[in-house]
Amino acid sequence: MVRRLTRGFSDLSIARKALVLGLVPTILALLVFTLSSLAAAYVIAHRTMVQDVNAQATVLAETIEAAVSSGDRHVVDQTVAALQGHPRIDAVCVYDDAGQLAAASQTPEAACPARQPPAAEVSFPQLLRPVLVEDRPRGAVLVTGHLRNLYAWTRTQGLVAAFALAAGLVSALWLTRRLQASVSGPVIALAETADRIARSGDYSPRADGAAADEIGRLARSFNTMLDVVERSDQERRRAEGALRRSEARWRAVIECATDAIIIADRQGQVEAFNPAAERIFGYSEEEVVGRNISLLMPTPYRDEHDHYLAQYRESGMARIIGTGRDVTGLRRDGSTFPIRLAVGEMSLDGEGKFVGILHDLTERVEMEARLRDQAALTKLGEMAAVLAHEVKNPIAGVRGAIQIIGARLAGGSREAAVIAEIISRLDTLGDLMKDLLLFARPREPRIAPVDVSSLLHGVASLVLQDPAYEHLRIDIHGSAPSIHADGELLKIALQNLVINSAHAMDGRGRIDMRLKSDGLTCEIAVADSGPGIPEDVRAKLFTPFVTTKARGTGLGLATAKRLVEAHRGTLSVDCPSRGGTTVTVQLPMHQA
Amino acid sequence: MTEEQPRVDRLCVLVVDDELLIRWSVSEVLSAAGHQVTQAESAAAALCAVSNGRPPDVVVLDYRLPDSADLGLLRAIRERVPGAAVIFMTAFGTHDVVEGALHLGAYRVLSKPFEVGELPRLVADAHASARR
Repeated sequence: MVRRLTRGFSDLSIARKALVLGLVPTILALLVFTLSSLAAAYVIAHRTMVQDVNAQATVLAETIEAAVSSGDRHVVDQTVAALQGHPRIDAVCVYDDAGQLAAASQTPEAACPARQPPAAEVSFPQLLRPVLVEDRPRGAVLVTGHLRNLYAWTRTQGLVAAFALAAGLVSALWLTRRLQASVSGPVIALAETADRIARSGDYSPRADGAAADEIGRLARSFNTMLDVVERSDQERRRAEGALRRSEARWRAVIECATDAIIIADRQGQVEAFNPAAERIFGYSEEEVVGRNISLLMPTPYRDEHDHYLAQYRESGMARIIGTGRDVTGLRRDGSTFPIRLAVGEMSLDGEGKFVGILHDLTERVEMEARLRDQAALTKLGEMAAVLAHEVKNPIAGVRGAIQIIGARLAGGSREAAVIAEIISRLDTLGDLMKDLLLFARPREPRIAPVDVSSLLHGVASLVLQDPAYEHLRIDIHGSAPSIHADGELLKIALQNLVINSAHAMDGRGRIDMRLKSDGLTCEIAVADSGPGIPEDVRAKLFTPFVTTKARGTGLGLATAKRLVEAHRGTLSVDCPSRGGTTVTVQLPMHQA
Repeated sequence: MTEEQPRVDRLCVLVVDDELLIRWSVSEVLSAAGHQVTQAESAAAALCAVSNGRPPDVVVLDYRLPDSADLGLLRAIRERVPGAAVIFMTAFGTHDVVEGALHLGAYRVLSKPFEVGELPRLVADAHASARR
């Protein structure tokens, strides 16, 4: 019970606590004071009245004694009558020695019994006094008093006390309100300030700390605390801003890097995979994160890698950390490519991580290969030039001499036919030399505006002049504006392509030449309906002297490619599944 | 091949080549066309030939000779006999050589091997253009 009261009290607001603490003792004190003064006054008044009644009764008895002893009945009646209207005596009854009612005050007549009551039955407010004459009882006086005045007085006192109590209550309530205004108000304002700060996250509001009392001191302490919090909040924000900027900078470095950057844990699980890595390997970051880094390695490195990592964890002996080395990567499509790999180790929250930076060497390796090819071609060119002269010069002599000798033979003779065959062979040899020179040492393009459409028509009619191609049809589609190029070299290149296509179709069928332009590039596609290119030949398509023809130098496509590349264009060969072969030449519209 | 050539002036033609078969076949075909042909197998011999005796009307000149590997001989011949037309032959055939020869006044550059039967008409045309 007490505990429940205590808990109930502690749950009350300060204002209510103050109310309870202020009111309850006040009311109790007022009550105690009022009740005790009432009681004391009552006791005193009661006693005074009883004494008064007693004294009246005694005086009456003595008067009656005197009257009895003198035998003056009239005096008795006068005395009794005189008591009528006495403020504290209602009735006086006089009994004779026989106990019979001798005299009574007139009002109220009924208050006097006819016979004298025994003394034992009389109690306040009735008093029975014996009338003694010479110490002998000669009757008795019964006085009936009353305390009605006392009750009226008590009522008045009670009203006064109640008024005082009410006044006390009102003043206690007023005091409590004042207390609430000076204590609870500032406390609630403080609480509201704290709430506002908590809601907005803005530490600038301050509590009113002007008051000199404890609440004011609390508000000032609260403000001081806010100052500290606001400062540290500003510092935290500044630090966060700096951190964010730093993070953005490093993120930019990682995202913009052209090298793949991969972070993996000590077990080899990938944790980060930058855009360059996505581009180089063909995986998206989501596909790789959480998987083992050996995913990006071809066998046998893949199988060795876990073992190698375990070895490093045990021995700390690294073969690759801190140094770079050339390794092989595995793309998503299964192709492998050369990589320059540098691995660093770092500690993040006490956990070791590996950072791998991978530079794709594909381009470099391809460039090296191209440079090697270039160097080889240059050498070939030098050799071909010497060879061509050394061979063409005697061919010229032999051809001229044998022609003159042949002219002197009889026409239609067997020897004349042999001579013609010799000259044809020599011409083939001369053409081979010319082709070789063209491929090995093409001249610099002489750039001029070229109408590609009429160039294509020129090539077509030139090829179709050959009676070997009488069953060949060449269709030319599309158009393009003039480009800047060496028309003569382009003509050779395109002629080679058309002749290749014609050969592929055994001289019968249709060749489609499609021309289009996007303003920057001019595209020429030469498509035949031949058997396509066997798989094993495709890889070495552009290698000189590789041919599928019974008779051919294997220089046509290689030369076409060189001539196109001399124009900074590209040449690609495609064998669509529907059959045939399409060679696509893309040329820049303008030469820089 | 040569017998039916139309009647032309009898020209003095100098053939310069170190390749015997070329010298022979060119001489044969031009002689048959009625020209007087002199042969030289080196640059030195060619210079000697243009300096002594009757200057040639037409020179059929090879680019590469044992003692000459540039256009110097052509330039020298053009200086000494400016009236002579030069038909230039080369198995080397680079663009620079062709352009250089034409620039120095060669009438035509023939890429070896060539059709020897066309020479008589070419010589006549060259001579005609040199005289204009």
